[in-house]
Order: sequence, then structure tokens, then C-alpha cells
Amino acid sequence: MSAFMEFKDVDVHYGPIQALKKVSLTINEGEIVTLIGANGAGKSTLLMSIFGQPRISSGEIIYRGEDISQKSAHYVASNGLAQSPEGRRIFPKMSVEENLLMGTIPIGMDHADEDMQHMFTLFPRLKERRNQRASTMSGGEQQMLAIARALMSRPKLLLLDEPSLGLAPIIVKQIFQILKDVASTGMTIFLVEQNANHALKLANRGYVMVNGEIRMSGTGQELLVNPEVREAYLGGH
Amino acid sequence: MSQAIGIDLKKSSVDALIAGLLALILFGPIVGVLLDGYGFKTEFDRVAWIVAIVAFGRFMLSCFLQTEKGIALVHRFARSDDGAIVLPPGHKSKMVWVIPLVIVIGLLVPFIASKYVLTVVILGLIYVLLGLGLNIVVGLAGLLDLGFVGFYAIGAYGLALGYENLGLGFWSMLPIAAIMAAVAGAILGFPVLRMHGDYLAIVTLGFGEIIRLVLINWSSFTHGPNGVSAPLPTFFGLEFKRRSSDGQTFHEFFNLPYDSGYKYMFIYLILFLVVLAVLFIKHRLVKMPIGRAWEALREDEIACRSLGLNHVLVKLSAFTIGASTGGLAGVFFATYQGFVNPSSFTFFESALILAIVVLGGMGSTLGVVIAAFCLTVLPEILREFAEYRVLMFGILMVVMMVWKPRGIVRVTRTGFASRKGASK
Repeated sequence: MSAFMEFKDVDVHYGPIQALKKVSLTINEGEIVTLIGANGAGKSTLLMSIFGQPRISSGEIIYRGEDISQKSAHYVASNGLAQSPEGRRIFPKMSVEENLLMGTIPIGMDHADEDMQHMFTLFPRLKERRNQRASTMSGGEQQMLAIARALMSRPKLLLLDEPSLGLAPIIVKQIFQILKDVASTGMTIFLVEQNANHALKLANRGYVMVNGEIRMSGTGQELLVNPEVREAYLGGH
Repeated sequence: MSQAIGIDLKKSSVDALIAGLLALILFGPIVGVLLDGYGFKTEFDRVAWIVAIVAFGRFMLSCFLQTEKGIALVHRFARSDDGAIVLPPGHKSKMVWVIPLVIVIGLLVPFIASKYVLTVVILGLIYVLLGLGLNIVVGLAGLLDLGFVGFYAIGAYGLALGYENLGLGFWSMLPIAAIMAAVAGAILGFPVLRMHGDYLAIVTLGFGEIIRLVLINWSSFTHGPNGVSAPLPTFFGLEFKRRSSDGQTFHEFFNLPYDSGYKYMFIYLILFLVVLAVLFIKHRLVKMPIGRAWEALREDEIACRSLGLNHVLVKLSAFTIGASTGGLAGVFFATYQGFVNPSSFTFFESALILAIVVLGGMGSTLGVVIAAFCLTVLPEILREFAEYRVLMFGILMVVMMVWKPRGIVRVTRTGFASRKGASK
């Protein structure tokens, strides 16, 4: 398998503060890769730097053989990358259907109907609420909507930023079950999570980020049993 | 009787006492102390009257709000339902028959109404255009623009100066002025793309002032505060003057007695058709992907960008389309007044247009039309109270924000559904 996306020695600065230090990371085609770490470790910074928000100060981000680190956000987003952003960021005053249609911006409306039906089989709750305003839904449903919206652009690589944020454990379980289903279709997924337990169980490979540096990497299973990871992120049990 | 419904007189008395005390603090120094040469004299009886009226009023209000009707009223205030009502896709309004009726009435107005009424209605329609333009920028795209009057000025001065320097008449300047204003919108739009909210408001406020100051100070070109005269529209080359230096005038050609009202009728009819066209275009734009992109950008810019929306294009399109509508309004304003000078394009004008959009309901077309007429026609009706115009404005604003914070007409839009082949 070839490297689908590769970070090479990426540095990111917020003014005088260095948020990412020489981060290198590889995502292969068809893989689920997860990046775990504590609050403020730089996980979301890494994800957003793919879209040039913030721009990286040195290094390269190679996506399918092309350095995209200096490209504009909409260029990146229209080339097979879709993300479900941190905090969901659905459009609160639009209906569920309209939110899903906003996801088709990069590819146009040609497959909109077909894809929407597909989303409704993947997320039956969204079908029940298709004409409802998105802000009136529960947090879990909104997260499902954010993921479905990202999938509407038929991405080659799905980027997820903390899909478990602020959700009840039972909903988190549901969300991860759905991610498993999505992954089984061969989708490449890059998952940034604080919920290390769920993330590592789902992922093929994982990276652990501490203070802007990649501290450890390995297969999901390896990291899950690693005593250091268990101590720091899995509550020591 | 009052006890039966359960009015708490003690609570009302406390309310009244507090209100009275506040009135005393507020009005005591302002009303009670009167300057008299270098000294002052005190007039405590006036203060006492005011305080008594305020306290009594508060007491009555407090009692009323505890009755059933009052409670119902408070509930209406407190309703915090938010945002647009989304109708199911494919919804057809039952009110469609109103549109032809309005068009027919609109076309009949100049033949029925007096000249005075006609001029007021023309002014109302100009503000409708301005409101519709700003509605795209503020109401739909969510970019707070306090300098909208700048585009209005560009349109108006475009007509006046284009006529003076290039000999271009109303009909050639109408599209050119719209394009000029659109270009100005794009020029303003570029540097402010990264700004939001307050910062954007300050920059646009500055833009409006820059335009006005340039008009005042570049006197060799714009004639400064003296202003420039603007031409009237022509009817297939026929002028609306009493006598024309070149060729026939309108009344001579049709063998009519001269009447200065004809030009207003004609301006009105063109303006009415332009407003209809703008309304139609705007109605279509909202349903097109660009309209939804504006609304999405207003709701969450970061989400839009992560979905691959080119925010530069979307913002600039809102700025340019809004600005060109403002430019059109400027051309009509100039030709209707026959004269433009910089004092017509002060910040107050921008605030008025913004008030139209906010009162009408952000993003609501019908609301903007109603509000534009209210805010231009009301001052004409209430000419006797001209001194209190701004005060009444303020009161109207406060009442509206309490009573109907979403504006006169709440935005109701038809949900969007994909149509097969729509993107082809």
C-alpha cells in the first residue's frame, strides 16, 4: 500500500509559540489511523494545518503525491478530503437535508439524491428528522449529521476531529459503530480523538501526541496494551 | 376585583417606588435645576410632577402585568423562538394572487396619486432598493456593512458627473453606475475578507465616510459642497423640460399641456419596474446555490471552508451584488432630486438603511419592502413632529426589538431540495 497522505517534519507556530514540532505521520490507503493525545497537545492544529489554517512554517504535507501545505482551504476540500470539524459545526438554521446538500459543494449535485438515500440508511435517525432544523437535534444526532455531511462529497480520505466530543458514552459507542461500518467500505479515515480507548480499538494504527510531538506510534492493539498509554490516557485500568 | 386575580399590591408598590427613585435621580438635575444667568434657580414642583407620573405609571403597569392579559403579554415578549421557519420543499404559497394585484396597483399609482404623494412613493421605492441591496450583504451573507451609503453616493454622483463630463444620460448611466458601484463593492470587499462583525463594521463605516469626504473635498471634479445637477430620464429621446434646446419635448410631441408631474410619473414607472426586476432577481438568487452559500457563510464560516466553499468568491459576490443595487438606487435618487450634494450621503443615511433591514427582518424581502415604506412615508405623515423624528425612530427601534426581535416579517423560506439535473 502506498502512502495516501504524509506529513514530513511539519512545524507550526502560533506567533512565538511552537504548536507542532517536526511531526511526521503517514496515512496509507484504506487504513484507519488515529491520533490521540491530551487537550492542547496539537491534534486539532495538525488536522487544520491540512487546510492551511494555520499554515505550516516548515515541512511538507503530501497528499497523493502533491504538496498541499500552501494550497487554499477550498482547493484542498474539493480534492477528495472531507472533514467533520471539531464541535460539529453544522448549520443550525438549515434543515437536515439542506445541511447534507451543503456537503456536495465540491462535487456538484449530480449524485445528491442517491448519496442522501445512502446516508439515510447509514444514519436512520437523520431520515426521521430530514426536514427539521439542525439546531433542534440532540448532540449525537448533530454529530451524525456532521459525519454524513462530510461523506456527501464522496471523499477519499475522511478526517474526523473529536467525534465523541461532549456526547454520552452510549452515543459515542453508536458513533464508533457507524465509523466501523464506514471503514468497512474501504474508506480511509484519519481520526483525531481524546477518547483513546474507542479510537485505538477502531484504528489499524495510532499515533500518540504530547506537547506537539509524536511520542509513540504503533498498531492500535499495541498502543492499547502499552503501559505508558494506559497510564496516561486510559485511566490506568 | 384586583384581589380576585391575585395582584400583589406590595410588589407593585415596590416597583413604583424604585421607578420613582430612578426618575428622581434622572430628572432631578435635568429638570429641577434651571440655569439663570450665572446662577440657577430650582423648580422642584416640576420634578415632583414627573416623578409622580412615572411612579404612578409604573404602579399601573405592574398591576396590569399581573392580570391574565398582562401575563399573556409577557409571554409574547419572552418567546425566544429563533431563526427562520423552514417550510417543506416544494411548498406553494396560497398568497400568489397578491403579486399581480400589487403590480397592477403599482402601475396605476402615478395616474391616481397627486404629485406630492407620488414623490413620497418614489422616495419609498428608492429606499426599498437600498434596503434590498443591503439585505443581501447584512441579512443574507451576515456581513455588517455600515458604509452602504457610499455605493448610493457612487450611483448618484455617477449619473451627475457622467452627464457633466461625458455627456452620458440617464439610460446609459443606469447600467454603468450599477457596474461602478459593483466594482467599488469588490474593491471594498477584498481588504475586508478576513474581518468579521465589529471590525468589518468599522472598516465599512470608514469607507462610507471616505466617499463622502472625497465628494466634499475634491471640488475641482465634484464641485464640493455645492453639488452637481443631475439629468432627467428621457422618453425615447424626448425630454421632460418645459422647453428643449434640441428637438421636441415630451408634452410638445404628445400635444399635452406642460405639467412637471409627468417627469415624476415617468421616473416612478421606471423605478417601479426596476424594483420589480430586483425583487425577482433576488428571489431567484436566494434559491440558487449562491443564496444558500451566503446563508451558510453567515451561519458558520469555518464549516463552509471545510466543506470546500470558496469564501472569497461568495463574500465578494454578496458585496458586489448588494453594492450594484445601491448604485441603482443612487441613480434614481439623483434624477429624482435633479441635484446631488454630499450632505445627502451622511452616516445617518447608512443607519437608516440598516434600520430598514433590521426592522424588516434580516433576510426577509417582504419585511424590507414594508419597513422601507414605513421609515420613509411615516416622517412625511408626521411632518408636524419633525423635531422628534429621531426620537421616534429610537422608540420604534426599542419597541420592535422587544416586541418582534426578528423584524416585522420573520424569514420563512422554502426548504431546499435537490432536483434532478439541477446542476447540469
